Amino acid sequence: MKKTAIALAMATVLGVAGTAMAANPFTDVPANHWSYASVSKLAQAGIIEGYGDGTFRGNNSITRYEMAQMVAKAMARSDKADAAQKAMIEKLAAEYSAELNNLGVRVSALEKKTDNVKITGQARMRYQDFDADSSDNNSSNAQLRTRLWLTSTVNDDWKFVNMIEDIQDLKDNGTADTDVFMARAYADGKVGDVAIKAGRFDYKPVWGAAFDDDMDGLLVGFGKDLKVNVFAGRMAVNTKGGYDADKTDAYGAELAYNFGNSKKWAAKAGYYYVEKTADASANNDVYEAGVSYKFDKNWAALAQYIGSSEDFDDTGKDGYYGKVFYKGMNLAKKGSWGAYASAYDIPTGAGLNTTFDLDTFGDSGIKGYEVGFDYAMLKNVQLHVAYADGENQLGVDKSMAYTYVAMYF
Amino acid sequence: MHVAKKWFQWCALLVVVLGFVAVNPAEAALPKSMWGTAPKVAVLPVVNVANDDPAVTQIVLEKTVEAFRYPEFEMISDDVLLPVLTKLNYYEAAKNGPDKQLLEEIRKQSGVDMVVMFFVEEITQNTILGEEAVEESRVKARAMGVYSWKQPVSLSADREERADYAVVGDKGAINLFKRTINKFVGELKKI
Repeated sequence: MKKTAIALAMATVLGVAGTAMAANPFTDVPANHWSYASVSKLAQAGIIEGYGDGTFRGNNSITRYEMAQMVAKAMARSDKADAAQKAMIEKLAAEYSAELNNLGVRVSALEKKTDNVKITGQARMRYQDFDADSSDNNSSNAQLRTRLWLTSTVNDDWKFVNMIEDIQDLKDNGTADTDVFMARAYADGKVGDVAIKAGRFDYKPVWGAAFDDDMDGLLVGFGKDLKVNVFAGRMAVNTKGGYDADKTDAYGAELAYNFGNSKKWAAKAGYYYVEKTADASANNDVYEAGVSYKFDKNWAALAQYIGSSEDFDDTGKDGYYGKVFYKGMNLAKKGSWGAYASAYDIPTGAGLNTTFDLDTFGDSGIKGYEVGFDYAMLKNVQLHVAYADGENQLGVDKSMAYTYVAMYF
Repeated sequence: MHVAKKWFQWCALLVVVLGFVAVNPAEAALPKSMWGTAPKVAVLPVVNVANDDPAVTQIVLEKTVEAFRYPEFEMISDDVLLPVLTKLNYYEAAKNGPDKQLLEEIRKQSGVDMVVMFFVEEITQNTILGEEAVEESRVKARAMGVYSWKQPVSLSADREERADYAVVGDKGAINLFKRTINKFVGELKKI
């Protein structure tokens, strides 16, 4: 008892005792424990050295620490094991993971409790060329944008996500480089069946005809077949109709419903109340509703209405967005690809910050069309090529050629 | 008077003892098994009707071995369990999900205190129409534990998550599955 107590004290000082979940490494493993039988079998098979008669210790007591040492030897010789023996070694490695970690043996198949922060990223190299009515308004950009996501697991239901971003200007020798900054930070999780997102996060309600950018606020989602999202916060909107992008609060709700088991039909709708905190006369209601349909495994389409209660700049209050898809790129599958064609007419009041890459007007809505293509050149490597032509609601014309290669890691 | 005083003292002592027990009820204790104080646990092979990905079984194995670690619990070896499963035609009997009677029969025939089973119905990760590089992961699974000392525990999960591919990569569904199994195991090991 005294010896065990001293050993336990040493283990605690040295940190060998580990977390509350880890067993005392100096606990005796009984001869009838499943791991004892497994190690005996591995000894008989010659994966671990036994005694001269091929047995392993017989019924002598052995501590968890000593057992872990045997498992470490088995892991080192696992290349000589058959499939069943390898499975046995994996199970042993899981059972004695804490002791193996303390022995300095890397158990590669297991998650370490300290690996709660996962880092993923995207590096996107793009070229974008705009031709306007007036050649004075032509422009192009070439940039390398790097994004890192740090996803920290808080518990089984919650995570915290940070996104760090940096943009390097490749066209003008870095004159338009940005600093590295924390572009997004939000908590993402569930309370019961209610999903919650809070902080600064990207938000694209319905299909993005009204808004597709960052929002500071709270998003609450619930429902199974009929999914409901309710949000409140500050949207990063374009400056239009007197909106101040820094002070535009928005509240709203989004609905999505998949019809039937086949999920070929889906309907979406959204309502957003957008207010400029300093000038109530610029407050606006934006609403959109549409359907999507999967014809077969290759073809799909969506069509929606979008409207605004206010008619900014006498440009109208009603609009639409339609898109046809053929196949679809899957980044996990090299060689997969998809193509699309879309047409849109978004009134000034409804185009808060649209998803359309042509929409660099900043205000006054947009109407036009776009065709594009996405291809998974390699696993986790995307090629995107697109062409768009259109104008804002005031008749300022622009066309765009856009291509990028993005790596995901 | 002397007798009355004795009776009064005994009654007072009884009241004190009963009161002490009521205020400090005995802590729930792990049942004793044949071999010692740790309950013997049989973790049944995973029934996975969602796919044939060996990672699914591996994840359940890792989580259960970590949760039912000796000396708090004592998992039994496959040598004891597999003959019982063969005799009861386990894979056929469990193909539609956990069955209380089946698990109870396994528990009795293998001589254990606790049997747990995991049934995986769906693990999918798909892109979303109209949203390039956004993945929707879905996990549907059930689990059941039958015990010698308490009522069976039946669990189910139907979880969906949507995230940028850049955030989850191609492992969004597997990570969601790991968290689901974590929750299951946490509930199943409660005394």
